Amino acid sequence: MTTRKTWMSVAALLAVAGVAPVALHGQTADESRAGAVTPADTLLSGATIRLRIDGMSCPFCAYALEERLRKLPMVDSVLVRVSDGIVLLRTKGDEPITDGNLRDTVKRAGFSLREIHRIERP
Amino acid sequence: MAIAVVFCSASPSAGQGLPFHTETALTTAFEQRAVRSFAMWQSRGAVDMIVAPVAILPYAPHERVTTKVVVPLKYARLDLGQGDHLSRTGVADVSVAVKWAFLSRDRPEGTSRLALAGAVSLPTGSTAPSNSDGQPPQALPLGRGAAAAGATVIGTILRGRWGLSADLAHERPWSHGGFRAGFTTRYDLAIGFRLPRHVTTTRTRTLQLYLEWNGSVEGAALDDGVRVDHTGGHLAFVSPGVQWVVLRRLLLEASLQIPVIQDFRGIQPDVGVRPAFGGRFLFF
Repeated sequence: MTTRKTWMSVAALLAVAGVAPVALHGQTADESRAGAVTPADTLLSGATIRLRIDGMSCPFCAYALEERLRKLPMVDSVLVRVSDGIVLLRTKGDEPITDGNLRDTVKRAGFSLREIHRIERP
Repeated sequence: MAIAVVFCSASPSAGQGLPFHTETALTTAFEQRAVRSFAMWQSRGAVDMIVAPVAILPYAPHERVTTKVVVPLKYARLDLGQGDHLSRTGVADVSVAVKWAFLSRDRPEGTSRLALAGAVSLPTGSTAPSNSDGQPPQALPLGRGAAAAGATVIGTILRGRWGLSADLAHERPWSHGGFRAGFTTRYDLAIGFRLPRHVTTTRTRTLQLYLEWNGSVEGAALDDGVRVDHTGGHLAFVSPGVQWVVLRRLLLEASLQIPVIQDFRGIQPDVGVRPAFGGRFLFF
């Protein structure tokens, strides 16, 4: 159940990022939208934040950043688009996540945070 | 004896960066939180050797500083001819290293970094006779018998699917019982190319192709201050290599070091091709 919820969140992030359809575990974002929860619905339960990261080049390194962000208690799901230098994350409910938190986490992973864009709920 | 000690003192490139044998100035995931191990076959004259670090354990006290401990296992085999041989297995010289990326210029899908590294090698590898009958396989010491200290300057440039790394290292051993192995100056250059061009997410499987130039110049050994004949020289390899990110946490790698310069002082056995296989695993 948790896995399904996570993938729905990732699909929502992909939709926000404008990269759908993208194959995820054999399921496209379009297929994911055909389920009970739509990306728009999932956005209602938390805020979406888009980060522009400099210095990312290899997926092996970017995965460490993904894991560090995922481990923040207020983060629900994370998607890293390596070549685009973009990280999309969704927060849990209304739990706040500060710019400082984000800046610190990215820095500790060895990268540079260039921009934080908080996407308003529809 | 001196030749064997110098041979064993040649660094197996343990604990280096993302290209197999060349350090990188990066202090990201694979330097902070990835356990690495590999096995490298080396042959020189009648001596065959397998060097395999049990583990290369990293620690990152700061995002720009990484430390690591390398615990190498060594199997050495001396061919005596007519199907006879001597062999020895055990822990070789353990080393501790610190790297500091003092300059970092990140950009979209790329970075330029410079780093300094220092390393100390401890004389943990046995040089004593090991056979119970008192017949020492003197040609097969597992360690150098003395500590050594070294410093390295490293540069890395990543631009999209291309990567370039270079390092220059100098190491000086202490003397042991009046014998001092020669200094080693190592220089490496690696060019990397990533497939595919676009990495969509961290789940994208990628393949990195590398071409490295790995060279080392060794000074002559000294015995009670007297230069030992037939020690030291210039050795360089061309090393094609490949890395495959199999899973998000797992990377497999292979390399083939082909000797292209063997300019030794005096008479010394030739160095053969060195195949190496390894893997890195991210832990969190």
